[in-house]
Amino acid sequence: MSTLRLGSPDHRDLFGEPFVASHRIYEPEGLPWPALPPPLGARARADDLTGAPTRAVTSGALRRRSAVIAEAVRFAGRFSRPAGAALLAGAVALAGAACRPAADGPSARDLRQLRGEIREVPNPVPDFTLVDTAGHPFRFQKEANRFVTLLYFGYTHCPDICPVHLANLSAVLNELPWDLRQRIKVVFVTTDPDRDTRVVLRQWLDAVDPTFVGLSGSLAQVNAAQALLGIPPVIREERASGNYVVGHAAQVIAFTPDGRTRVDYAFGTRQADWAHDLPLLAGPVRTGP
Amino acid sequence: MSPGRRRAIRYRTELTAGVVLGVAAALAGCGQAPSSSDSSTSVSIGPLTILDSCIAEPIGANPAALYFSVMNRGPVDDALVGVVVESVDRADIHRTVEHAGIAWMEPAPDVTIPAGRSVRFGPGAYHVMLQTSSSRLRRGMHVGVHLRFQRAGTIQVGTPVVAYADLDRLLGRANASGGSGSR
Repeated sequence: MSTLRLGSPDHRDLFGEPFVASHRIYEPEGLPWPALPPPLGARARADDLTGAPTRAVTSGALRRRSAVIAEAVRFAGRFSRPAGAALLAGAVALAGAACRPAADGPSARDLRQLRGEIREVPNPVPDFTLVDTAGHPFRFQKEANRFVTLLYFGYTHCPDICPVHLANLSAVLNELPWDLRQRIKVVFVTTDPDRDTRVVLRQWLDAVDPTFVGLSGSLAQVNAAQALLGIPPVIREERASGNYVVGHAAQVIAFTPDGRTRVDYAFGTRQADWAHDLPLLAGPVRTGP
Repeated sequence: MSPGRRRAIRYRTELTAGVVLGVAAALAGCGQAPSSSDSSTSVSIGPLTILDSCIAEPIGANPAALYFSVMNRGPVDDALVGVVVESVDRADIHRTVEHAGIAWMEPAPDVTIPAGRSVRFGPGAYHVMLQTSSSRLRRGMHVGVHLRFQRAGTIQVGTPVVAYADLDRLLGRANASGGSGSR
Protein backbone atom coordinates (compact mmCIF):
# COMPACT_ATOMS: atom_id res chain seq x y z
CA MET A 1 0.00 0.00 0.00
CA SER A 2 1.39 3.35 -1.01
CA THR A 3 1.95 6.13 1.45
CA LEU A 4 -1.18 8.02 2.26
CA ARG A 5 -0.85 11.67 1.28
CA LEU A 6 -2.41 14.17 3.64
CA GLY A 7 -5.44 15.87 2.08
CA SER A 8 -5.73 13.30 -0.74
CA PRO A 9 -9.12 11.76 -1.65
CA ASP A 10 -7.92 8.50 -0.13
CA HIS A 11 -7.09 10.28 3.08
CA ARG A 12 -10.48 11.93 3.09
CA ASP A 13 -12.35 8.68 2.42
CA LEU A 14 -10.39 6.69 4.93
CA PHE A 15 -10.61 9.11 7.83
CA GLY A 16 -13.33 11.56 6.89
CA GLU A 17 -16.23 9.19 6.45
CA PRO A 18 -16.05 7.35 9.75
CA PHE A 19 -15.59 10.68 11.40
CA VAL A 20 -18.68 12.18 9.78
CA ALA A 21 -20.66 9.01 10.40
CA SER A 22 -19.81 9.04 14.08
CA HIS A 23 -20.10 12.77 14.50
CA ARG A 24 -22.97 14.16 16.44
CA ILE A 25 -23.89 17.75 15.83
CA TYR A 26 -23.32 19.58 19.06
CA GLU A 27 -26.71 20.72 20.23
CA PRO A 28 -26.62 21.56 23.91
CA GLU A 29 -30.39 21.97 23.94
CA GLY A 30 -30.97 18.45 22.75
CA LEU A 31 -28.15 16.58 24.46
CA PRO A 32 -29.34 14.02 26.95
CA TRP A 33 -26.87 14.95 29.66
CA PRO A 34 -26.48 12.02 31.97
CA ALA A 35 -27.85 11.82 35.44
CA LEU A 36 -24.71 10.59 37.14
CA PRO A 37 -24.57 9.09 40.63
CA PRO A 38 -23.81 11.77 43.22
CA PRO A 39 -19.99 11.47 43.72
CA LEU A 40 -19.41 11.32 39.96
CA GLY A 41 -21.94 14.07 39.37
CA ALA A 42 -20.23 16.34 41.87
CA ARG A 43 -16.85 15.83 40.21
CA ALA A 44 -18.31 16.31 36.72
CA ARG A 45 -19.77 19.62 37.84
CA ALA A 46 -16.39 20.73 39.14
CA ASP A 47 -14.59 19.67 35.97
CA ASP A 48 -13.87 22.51 33.60
CA LEU A 49 -14.90 21.52 30.10
CA THR A 50 -15.08 25.03 28.75
CA GLY A 51 -14.76 25.00 25.02
CA ALA A 52 -14.27 21.26 24.81
CA PRO A 53 -17.62 20.13 23.43
CA THR A 54 -17.30 22.01 20.18
CA ARG A 55 -14.10 20.24 19.22
CA ALA A 56 -13.84 16.77 17.84
CA VAL A 57 -11.61 14.64 20.02
CA THR A 58 -10.62 11.05 19.88
CA SER A 59 -11.51 8.92 22.83
CA GLY A 60 -7.84 8.93 23.79
CA ALA A 61 -7.80 12.68 23.89
CA LEU A 62 -11.14 12.55 25.65
CA ARG A 63 -9.63 10.46 28.38
CA ARG A 64 -6.73 12.82 28.77
CA ARG A 65 -8.95 15.83 28.71
CA SER A 66 -11.37 14.64 31.30
CA ALA A 67 -10.91 11.69 33.53
CA VAL A 68 -14.41 12.27 34.80
CA ILE A 69 -15.98 11.92 31.36
CA ALA A 70 -13.95 8.79 30.76
CA GLU A 71 -15.20 7.44 34.05
CA ALA A 72 -18.72 8.38 33.11
CA VAL A 73 -18.43 6.46 29.86
CA ARG A 74 -16.93 3.45 31.65
CA PHE A 75 -19.72 3.67 34.15
CA ALA A 76 -22.10 3.25 31.28
CA GLY A 77 -20.26 0.11 30.29
CA ARG A 78 -19.78 1.33 26.79
CA PHE A 79 -16.11 2.18 26.76
CA SER A 80 -14.89 -0.93 24.99
CA ARG A 81 -14.86 0.67 21.54
CA PRO A 82 -11.40 0.94 20.09
CA ALA A 83 -9.87 4.35 20.14
CA GLY A 84 -11.16 6.07 17.05
CA ALA A 85 -13.17 9.00 15.96
CA ALA A 86 -15.50 10.02 18.73
CA LEU A 87 -16.85 13.29 19.93
CA LEU A 88 -16.91 14.38 23.49
CA ALA A 89 -20.56 15.16 22.98
CA GLY A 90 -21.14 11.75 21.47
CA ALA A 91 -19.44 9.99 24.33
CA VAL A 92 -21.40 11.92 26.87
CA ALA A 93 -24.56 11.14 24.95
CA LEU A 94 -23.65 7.45 25.03
CA ALA A 95 -23.16 7.59 28.76
CA GLY A 96 -26.45 9.41 29.00
CA ALA A 97 -28.25 6.77 26.97
CA ALA A 98 -27.11 4.06 29.35
CA CYS A 99 -27.88 5.79 32.61
CA ARG A 100 -30.62 8.23 31.76
CA PRO A 101 -33.36 8.50 34.30
CA ALA A 102 -36.07 5.94 34.22
CA ALA A 103 -39.34 7.18 32.78
CA ASP A 104 -41.06 6.91 36.13
CA GLY A 105 -43.45 9.69 36.86
CA PRO A 106 -44.60 10.88 40.23
CA SER A 107 -46.40 8.43 42.46
CA ALA A 108 -50.07 8.95 43.19
CA ARG A 109 -49.04 10.18 46.63
CA ASP A 110 -46.67 12.75 45.14
CA LEU A 111 -49.34 13.89 42.72
CA ARG A 112 -51.71 14.63 45.58
CA GLN A 113 -49.14 16.95 47.14
CA LEU A 114 -48.65 19.08 44.04
CA ARG A 115 -49.54 22.76 44.28
CA GLY A 116 -50.15 23.02 40.55
CA GLU A 117 -53.50 22.10 39.09
CA ILE A 118 -53.70 18.56 37.74
CA ARG A 119 -55.91 18.48 34.69
CA GLU A 120 -58.96 16.34 35.28
CA VAL A 121 -58.53 14.42 32.06
CA PRO A 122 -54.78 14.09 31.59
CA ASN A 123 -53.99 14.99 28.01
CA PRO A 124 -51.38 12.93 26.28
CA VAL A 125 -48.22 14.88 25.57
CA PRO A 126 -49.20 16.78 22.43
CA ASP A 127 -47.46 15.89 19.20
CA PHE A 128 -46.45 19.07 17.44
CA THR A 129 -43.27 20.13 15.72
CA LEU A 130 -41.93 23.68 15.71
CA VAL A 131 -38.49 25.09 14.98
CA ASP A 132 -35.93 25.77 17.71
CA THR A 133 -33.66 28.81 17.83
CA ALA A 134 -30.89 26.91 16.02
CA GLY A 135 -33.30 26.33 13.13
CA HIS A 136 -33.82 22.63 13.79
CA PRO A 137 -37.21 20.95 14.00
CA PHE A 138 -38.25 20.22 17.57
CA ARG A 139 -40.81 17.46 17.97
CA PHE A 140 -42.30 18.19 21.33
CA GLN A 141 -43.63 14.75 22.17
CA LYS A 142 -40.26 13.12 21.51
CA GLU A 143 -38.25 15.80 23.30
CA ALA A 144 -40.53 15.79 26.34
CA ASN A 145 -40.13 12.05 26.81
CA ARG A 146 -38.36 11.20 30.10
CA PHE A 147 -38.11 14.83 31.12
CA VAL A 148 -40.17 17.09 33.28
CA THR A 149 -41.10 19.49 30.52
CA LEU A 150 -42.39 22.94 31.32
CA LEU A 151 -44.15 24.50 28.36
CA TYR A 152 -45.04 28.16 28.13
CA PHE A 153 -46.54 30.29 25.38
CA GLY A 154 -45.55 33.96 25.48
CA TYR A 155 -43.66 36.74 23.73
CA THR A 156 -40.54 38.78 24.32
CA HIS A 157 -42.20 42.22 24.20
CA CYS A 158 -44.24 41.21 27.23
CA PRO A 159 -43.27 43.32 30.26
CA ASP A 160 -45.37 41.69 32.93
CA ILE A 161 -46.38 38.05 32.92
CA CYS A 162 -43.85 36.30 30.66
CA PRO A 163 -40.60 37.55 32.21
CA VAL A 164 -41.95 37.10 35.74
CA HIS A 165 -42.93 33.48 35.10
CA LEU A 166 -39.66 32.59 33.38
CA ALA A 167 -37.40 34.49 35.79
CA ASN A 168 -39.06 32.71 38.71
CA LEU A 169 -38.51 29.35 37.06
CA SER A 170 -34.88 30.12 36.27
CA ALA A 171 -34.17 31.24 39.83
CA VAL A 172 -35.58 28.00 41.22
CA LEU A 173 -33.91 25.73 38.66
CA ASN A 174 -30.53 27.23 39.49
CA GLU A 175 -30.97 26.17 43.10
CA LEU A 176 -31.91 22.56 42.36
CA PRO A 177 -29.48 19.67 42.80
CA TRP A 178 -27.64 19.10 39.55
CA ASP A 179 -29.07 15.62 38.92
CA LEU A 180 -32.61 16.88 39.24
CA ARG A 181 -31.91 19.93 37.13
CA GLN A 182 -30.75 17.70 34.25
CA ARG A 183 -34.18 16.11 34.14
CA ILE A 184 -36.11 19.31 33.58
CA LYS A 185 -36.61 21.12 30.28
CA VAL A 186 -38.19 24.51 29.83
CA VAL A 187 -39.72 25.18 26.42
CA PHE A 188 -40.88 28.67 25.46
CA VAL A 189 -43.06 29.02 22.36
CA THR A 190 -43.40 32.51 20.96
CA THR A 191 -46.91 33.77 20.31
CA ASP A 192 -45.47 36.71 18.39
CA PRO A 193 -43.56 35.17 15.48
CA ASP A 194 -43.53 38.47 13.53
CA ARG A 195 -41.30 40.22 16.08
CA ASP A 196 -39.72 37.21 17.74
CA THR A 197 -37.33 35.99 15.09
CA ARG A 198 -35.08 33.10 16.06
CA VAL A 199 -32.29 35.55 16.86
CA VAL A 200 -34.50 37.83 18.96
CA LEU A 201 -35.92 34.85 20.79
CA ARG A 202 -32.48 33.37 21.52
CA GLN A 203 -31.08 36.67 22.78
CA TRP A 204 -34.04 37.18 25.07
CA LEU A 205 -33.95 33.63 26.42
CA ASP A 206 -30.18 33.84 26.91
CA ALA A 207 -30.78 36.88 29.10
CA VAL A 208 -33.41 34.97 31.11
CA ASP A 209 -31.82 31.50 31.12
CA PRO A 210 -29.58 30.14 28.37
CA THR A 211 -30.81 26.60 28.96
CA PHE A 212 -34.39 27.43 27.97
CA VAL A 213 -35.49 26.10 24.60
CA GLY A 214 -37.15 28.63 22.29
CA LEU A 215 -39.58 27.54 19.62
CA SER A 216 -41.28 29.40 16.84
CA GLY A 217 -43.50 28.72 13.87
CA SER A 218 -46.22 30.47 11.95
CA LEU A 219 -49.06 31.79 14.06
CA ALA A 220 -51.25 29.05 12.56
CA GLN A 221 -48.76 26.40 13.70
CA VAL A 222 -48.54 27.88 17.18
CA ASN A 223 -52.32 28.05 17.41
CA ALA A 224 -52.56 24.44 16.27
CA ALA A 225 -50.13 23.42 19.01
CA GLN A 226 -52.14 25.39 21.56
CA ALA A 227 -55.36 23.77 20.36
CA LEU A 228 -53.89 20.35 21.21
CA LEU A 229 -53.57 21.63 24.77
CA GLY A 230 -57.02 23.17 24.90
CA ILE A 231 -55.63 26.71 24.85
CA PRO A 232 -57.56 29.33 22.86
CA PRO A 233 -55.79 30.91 19.89
CA VAL A 234 -53.42 33.86 20.31
CA ILE A 235 -55.11 37.26 20.25
CA ARG A 236 -53.38 40.11 18.47
CA GLU A 237 -54.79 43.54 19.19
CA GLU A 238 -53.61 46.57 17.23
CA ARG A 239 -53.01 49.78 19.16
CA ALA A 240 -53.28 53.36 17.98
CA SER A 241 -49.54 53.76 18.55
CA GLY A 242 -48.91 51.38 15.66
CA ASN A 243 -47.88 48.79 18.19
CA TYR A 244 -49.85 45.73 19.09
CA VAL A 245 -50.31 43.62 22.14
CA VAL A 246 -50.49 39.87 22.19
CA GLY A 247 -52.98 37.94 24.27
CA HIS A 248 -51.77 34.52 25.31
CA ALA A 249 -52.30 31.80 27.86
CA ALA A 250 -50.84 32.74 31.24
CA GLN A 251 -50.11 29.29 32.65
CA VAL A 252 -47.01 27.14 32.52
CA ILE A 253 -47.93 23.59 31.55
CA ALA A 254 -45.86 20.81 33.08
CA PHE A 255 -45.61 17.26 31.77
CA THR A 256 -44.23 14.46 33.93
CA PRO A 257 -41.36 12.28 32.58
CA ASP A 258 -43.75 9.37 31.98
CA GLY A 259 -45.94 11.60 29.82
CA ARG A 260 -49.00 10.60 31.79
CA THR A 261 -49.78 13.72 33.74
CA ARG A 262 -50.23 17.34 32.87
CA VAL A 263 -50.15 19.95 35.61
CA ASP A 264 -50.98 23.61 35.03
CA TYR A 265 -49.30 26.43 36.94
CA ALA A 266 -51.30 29.64 36.82
CA PHE A 267 -49.69 33.03 36.82
CA GLY A 268 -48.90 33.90 40.40
CA THR A 269 -47.09 30.63 41.04
CA ARG A 270 -44.39 31.50 43.55
CA GLN A 271 -40.78 30.36 43.56
CA ALA A 272 -41.53 28.37 46.71
CA ASP A 273 -44.28 26.53 44.81
CA TRP A 274 -41.89 25.55 42.02
CA ALA A 275 -39.25 24.45 44.51
CA HIS A 276 -41.88 22.29 46.17
CA ASP A 277 -43.35 20.76 43.02
CA LEU A 278 -40.42 20.19 40.66
CA PRO A 279 -38.85 17.30 42.62
CA LEU A 280 -42.28 15.69 42.90
CA LEU A 281 -42.94 16.06 39.17
CA ALA A 282 -39.58 14.46 38.35
CA GLY A 283 -40.40 11.37 40.38
CA PRO A 284 -37.82 9.00 41.84
CA VAL A 285 -34.35 8.91 40.28
CA ARG A 286 -33.32 5.54 38.95
CA THR A 287 -29.96 5.34 37.24
CA GLY A 288 -28.11 2.49 35.62
CA PRO A 289 -28.97 0.26 32.66
CA MET B 1 -37.47 40.82 61.85
CA SER B 2 -36.40 43.06 59.00
CA PRO B 3 -36.55 46.84 59.25
CA GLY B 4 -39.09 46.80 56.43
CA ARG B 5 -41.39 44.53 58.36
CA ARG B 6 -41.21 46.78 61.41
CA ARG B 7 -42.07 49.71 59.23
CA ALA B 8 -44.95 47.81 57.71
CA ILE B 9 -46.43 47.13 61.13
CA ARG B 10 -46.08 50.75 62.17
CA TYR B 11 -47.92 51.80 59.05
CA ARG B 12 -50.59 49.29 59.71
CA THR B 13 -51.34 50.81 63.11
CA GLU B 14 -51.81 54.16 61.42
CA LEU B 15 -54.32 52.92 58.92
CA THR B 16 -57.87 54.07 59.04
CA ALA B 17 -60.66 51.58 59.33
CA GLY B 18 -61.66 51.72 55.70
CA VAL B 19 -58.40 50.40 54.31
CA VAL B 20 -58.69 47.00 52.71
CA LEU B 21 -56.72 44.04 53.89
CA GLY B 22 -54.74 44.05 50.66
CA VAL B 23 -52.73 46.92 52.05
CA ALA B 24 -50.86 44.57 54.37
CA ALA B 25 -49.66 42.61 51.37
CA ALA B 26 -48.65 45.80 49.62
CA LEU B 27 -46.76 47.00 52.65
CA ALA B 28 -44.66 43.87 52.73
CA GLY B 29 -43.28 44.86 49.36
CA CYS B 30 -40.07 46.31 47.96
CA GLY B 31 -39.27 48.07 51.22
CA GLN B 32 -38.74 44.68 52.80
CA ALA B 33 -35.53 44.19 50.86
CA PRO B 34 -32.54 43.61 53.11
CA SER B 35 -30.02 45.35 50.83
CA SER B 36 -30.02 49.07 50.44
CA SER B 37 -29.70 48.90 46.66
CA ASP B 38 -33.23 47.66 46.09
CA SER B 39 -35.02 49.24 48.99
CA SER B 40 -37.50 52.01 48.47
CA THR B 41 -39.15 54.38 50.83
CA SER B 42 -42.75 55.42 51.03
CA VAL B 43 -43.67 58.96 50.12
CA SER B 44 -46.87 60.88 50.70
CA ILE B 45 -48.68 63.70 49.00
CA GLY B 46 -51.86 64.88 50.64
CA PRO B 47 -53.86 61.85 51.65
CA LEU B 48 -51.98 59.58 49.23
CA THR B 49 -49.05 57.37 50.15
CA ILE B 50 -46.94 55.61 47.54
CA LEU B 51 -45.34 52.41 48.73
CA ASP B 52 -42.96 49.81 47.49
CA SER B 53 -42.16 51.16 44.08
CA CYS B 54 -39.78 49.12 41.98
CA ILE B 55 -38.91 48.72 38.33
CA ALA B 56 -38.20 45.30 36.87
CA GLU B 57 -35.02 45.51 34.85
CA PRO B 58 -35.86 45.14 31.15
CA ILE B 59 -34.56 42.13 29.29
CA GLY B 60 -32.55 43.51 26.39
CA ALA B 61 -34.38 46.30 24.60
CA ASN B 62 -37.78 45.07 25.72
CA PRO B 63 -40.22 47.04 27.82
CA ALA B 64 -39.74 47.19 31.57
CA ALA B 65 -42.47 47.27 34.21
CA LEU B 66 -42.97 49.70 37.07
CA TYR B 67 -44.82 48.50 40.16
CA PHE B 68 -45.99 50.25 43.31
CA SER B 69 -48.98 50.63 45.60
CA VAL B 70 -51.05 53.74 46.26
CA MET B 71 -52.97 54.15 49.46
CA ASN B 72 -55.67 56.80 49.73
CA ARG B 73 -56.41 57.78 53.34
CA GLY B 74 -58.57 60.69 52.32
CA PRO B 75 -62.37 60.92 52.18
CA VAL B 76 -62.56 61.43 48.40
CA ASP B 77 -61.48 59.38 45.39
CA ASP B 78 -58.43 60.40 43.44
CA ALA B 79 -57.06 59.09 40.15
CA LEU B 80 -53.62 58.42 38.72
CA VAL B 81 -53.64 60.23 35.40
CA GLY B 82 -50.03 60.27 34.26
CA VAL B 83 -46.62 58.74 34.81
CA VAL B 84 -43.27 60.14 33.77
CA VAL B 85 -40.10 58.16 34.45
CA GLU B 86 -36.64 59.64 34.14
CA SER B 87 -34.49 58.19 31.35
CA VAL B 88 -37.51 56.44 29.90
CA ASP B 89 -39.05 57.44 26.57
CA ARG B 90 -42.56 56.32 27.21
CA ALA B 91 -44.61 55.20 30.18
CA ASP B 92 -48.08 53.70 29.72
CA ILE B 93 -50.40 52.51 32.44
CA HIS B 94 -51.63 49.01 31.68
CA ARG B 95 -53.74 46.44 33.32
CA THR B 96 -53.22 42.74 32.78
CA VAL B 97 -56.58 41.06 32.35
CA GLU B 98 -57.34 37.41 31.97
CA HIS B 99 -60.44 36.10 30.31
CA ALA B 100 -61.27 32.57 29.15
CA GLY B 101 -57.69 31.40 29.63
CA ILE B 102 -56.10 34.27 27.72
CA ALA B 103 -54.18 37.12 29.35
CA TRP B 104 -53.39 40.42 27.73
CA MET B 105 -52.64 44.06 28.53
CA GLU B 106 -55.28 46.74 28.39
CA PRO B 107 -54.47 50.45 28.44
CA ALA B 108 -55.65 52.09 31.65
CA PRO B 109 -55.26 55.84 30.99
CA ASP B 110 -56.49 56.72 34.46
CA VAL B 111 -56.76 54.54 37.51
CA THR B 112 -59.16 55.50 40.28
CA ILE B 113 -57.72 55.37 43.79
CA PRO B 114 -60.88 55.04 45.87
CA ALA B 115 -61.20 56.88 49.17
CA GLY B 116 -59.97 54.80 52.10
CA ARG B 117 -58.51 52.06 49.94
CA SER B 118 -55.32 51.04 48.23
CA VAL B 119 -54.59 50.06 44.66
CA ARG B 120 -51.77 47.72 43.89
CA PHE B 121 -49.65 47.84 40.77
CA GLY B 122 -48.12 44.38 40.62
CA PRO B 123 -47.48 41.46 38.30
CA GLY B 124 -50.76 40.26 36.84
CA ALA B 125 -52.58 43.42 37.95
CA TYR B 126 -51.80 47.02 36.96
CA HIS B 127 -48.34 47.94 35.77
CA VAL B 128 -46.70 50.88 34.05
CA MET B 129 -45.00 49.70 30.88
CA LEU B 130 -41.74 51.56 30.30
CA GLN B 131 -40.14 51.81 26.91
CA THR B 132 -36.64 53.04 26.32
CA SER B 133 -34.85 53.32 22.99
CA SER B 134 -31.81 51.69 24.54
CA SER B 135 -31.31 49.64 27.66
CA ARG B 136 -30.74 52.47 30.10
CA LEU B 137 -32.38 50.88 33.10
CA ARG B 138 -29.97 48.64 34.95
CA ARG B 139 -30.27 46.72 38.17
CA GLY B 140 -29.04 48.69 41.16
CA MET B 141 -30.02 52.07 39.72
CA HIS B 142 -32.46 54.44 41.36
CA VAL B 143 -34.77 56.26 38.98
CA GLY B 144 -37.03 59.24 39.53
CA VAL B 145 -40.67 58.32 38.95
CA HIS B 146 -43.22 61.14 38.74
CA LEU B 147 -46.79 60.15 39.42
CA ARG B 148 -49.50 62.67 38.56
CA PHE B 149 -52.78 62.46 40.42
CA GLN B 150 -55.91 64.35 39.48
CA ARG B 151 -56.46 65.90 42.90
CA ALA B 152 -53.29 65.47 44.92
CA GLY B 153 -50.91 66.65 42.20
CA THR B 154 -47.54 65.26 41.14
CA ILE B 155 -45.18 63.38 43.41
CA GLN B 156 -41.69 62.08 42.80
CA VAL B 157 -40.74 58.63 44.01
CA GLY B 158 -37.14 57.35 43.96
CA THR B 159 -37.47 53.86 42.59
CA PRO B 160 -34.93 51.01 42.51
CA VAL B 161 -34.40 48.85 39.44
CA VAL B 162 -34.51 45.17 40.41
CA ALA B 163 -34.38 41.80 38.65
CA TYR B 164 -37.61 40.12 37.60
CA ALA B 165 -36.60 37.13 39.70
CA ASP B 166 -36.44 39.38 42.78
CA LEU B 167 -40.08 40.47 42.49
CA ASP B 168 -41.13 37.20 44.09
CA ARG B 169 -39.25 38.13 47.25
CA LEU B 170 -39.84 41.89 47.09
CA LEU B 171 -43.54 41.96 46.36
CA GLY B 172 -44.29 39.01 48.58
CA ARG B 173 -47.86 37.93 48.54
CA ALA B 174 -48.71 40.76 46.17
CA ASN B 175 -47.04 38.73 43.43
CA ALA B 176 -49.83 36.19 43.55
CA SER B 177 -52.59 36.51 41.01
CA GLY B 178 -55.95 37.78 42.04
CA GLY B 179 -56.48 41.21 40.61
CA SER B 180 -55.71 44.69 41.71
CA GLY B 181 -56.68 44.87 45.36
CA SER B 182 -59.58 47.14 44.71
CA ARG B 183 -61.73 48.06 41.76
